Amino acid sequence: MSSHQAVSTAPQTLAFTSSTAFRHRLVQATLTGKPIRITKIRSSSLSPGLQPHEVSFLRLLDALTNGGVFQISETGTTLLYKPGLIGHTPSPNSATSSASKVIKHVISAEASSRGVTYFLEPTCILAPFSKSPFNIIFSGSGCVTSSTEQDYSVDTFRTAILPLYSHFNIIAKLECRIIKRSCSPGGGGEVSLTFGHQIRLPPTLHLRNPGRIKRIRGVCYTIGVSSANNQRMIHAARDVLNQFINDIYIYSETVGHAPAAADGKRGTPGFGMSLVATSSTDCLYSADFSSSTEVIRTPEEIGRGAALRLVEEIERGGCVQRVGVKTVVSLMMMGSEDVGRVVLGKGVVEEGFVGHLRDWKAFGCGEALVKEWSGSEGLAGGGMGGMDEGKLISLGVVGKGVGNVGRKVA
Amino acid sequence: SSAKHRKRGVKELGKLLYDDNVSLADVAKLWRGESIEDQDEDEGPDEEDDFFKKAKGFDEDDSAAIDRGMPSFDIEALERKWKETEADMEDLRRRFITANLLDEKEGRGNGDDDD
Repeated sequence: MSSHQAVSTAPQTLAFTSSTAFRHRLVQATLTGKPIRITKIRSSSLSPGLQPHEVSFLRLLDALTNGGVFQISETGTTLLYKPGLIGHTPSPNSATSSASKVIKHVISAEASSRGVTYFLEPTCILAPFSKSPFNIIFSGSGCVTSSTEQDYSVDTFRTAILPLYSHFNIIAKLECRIIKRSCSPGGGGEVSLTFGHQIRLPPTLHLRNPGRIKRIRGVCYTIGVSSANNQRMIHAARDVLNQFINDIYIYSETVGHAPAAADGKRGTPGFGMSLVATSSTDCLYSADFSSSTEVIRTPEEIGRGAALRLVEEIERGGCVQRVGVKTVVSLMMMGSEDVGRVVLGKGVVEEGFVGHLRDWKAFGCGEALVKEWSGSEGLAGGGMGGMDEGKLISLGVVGKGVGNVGRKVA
Repeated sequence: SSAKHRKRGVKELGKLLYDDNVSLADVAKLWRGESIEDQDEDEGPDEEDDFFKKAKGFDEDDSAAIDRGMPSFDIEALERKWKETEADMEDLRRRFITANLLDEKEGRGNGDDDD
């Protein structure tokens, strides 16, 4: 059974199978207000059903919306979700809410296999369409700020994902701060997110010139290990990157002790690096690499690996990199009924992205139109940021004009 | 069904996006301009869902792709690729604003032709 097929079973309830694209499907359901039923969630797995991080995401979604219905089968392999309105209403008997309307999302230790950006990315896609600003503090023994095998770091989120919203003029009162750094597994980190810029409709996007890379910035961090590791990572990364550009600055962050784990034991020590390259047209390419408890790597390997990963993303090219495309396409789909365009490197197109486009169609949103990009259209000289035209596609998206149903028209 | 899509232009490929008979992996490959026969390197011949079976070792359903936040990297493959890149960096250098400067320097500082 293929995971991307959506068949309408009951009126308006869309059916999906498997845990594929779990977060984005829930976001799509919430944005479009359509109920979904997901079946066969790891039904043939040794540990069937929803995993702790997925349940945690459902709890977060419950806190961020009003009137949503979540029904999980006993085995956890089936989920029925009827979305409510986006926007947090503090419950009157909650101690924290009266003063500040801050949502505190505590991530349990069982969910620490995933980084906290697992929650941050989909949360922010909902945020512009909320009726009230989002103020969230993520914490708990499953809160991991560094990158993991499957998730990018909060540093990358802050410097390469959050700025994507500026393409849609969503720029005010956006802030993501790392209060306490942590590594996986063990967690104990703390991150605050403020997303205070709510809009009615995202403007139509025309993002066509990737430009050329003008600077590289980065953060490297050590948690509970010698700060000398930072210099070793930086040196190895510069060894690769200096041959392309001189404008490189990598900040060092040193945390003396890893946050204590849940049972009072010492937290996981570690180190890692996040790199972001910015183009002359403010397109962003990022990379992450960090130590893991499974494979022992030297700081040199981490620094060099991060640099090679960055080079890889730059080479894939286009205006939006792989970790950013779902965010950008989601906002385009929610936009006004006009054709928005974004130029992507062909190397950015992967199975997950194609599935994402198909899912949007299933939710009744716009179809995507794709064509080979012939760079010269409407651009004054300079080519396509040094990329061969044959390596780019132009993706057209007609918005559905759903926008923000909770927000009053100004 | 796969072979007949092979030679189509990207423009036509837009239609394939919403054709459920074409797997996600195949759409992605065709959009990237790759031929979809490339995939059977170490896999058995034309299984429809090749891609999903490759999703390795994470105790998932066969049909499920992991809901990743970050692309997976094969660091050894990147090292191999870097060796090729180092041999001829001009393509990549053009992606940087310093490109023109480097082009000028090319004759002098860089490359096989000596001074």
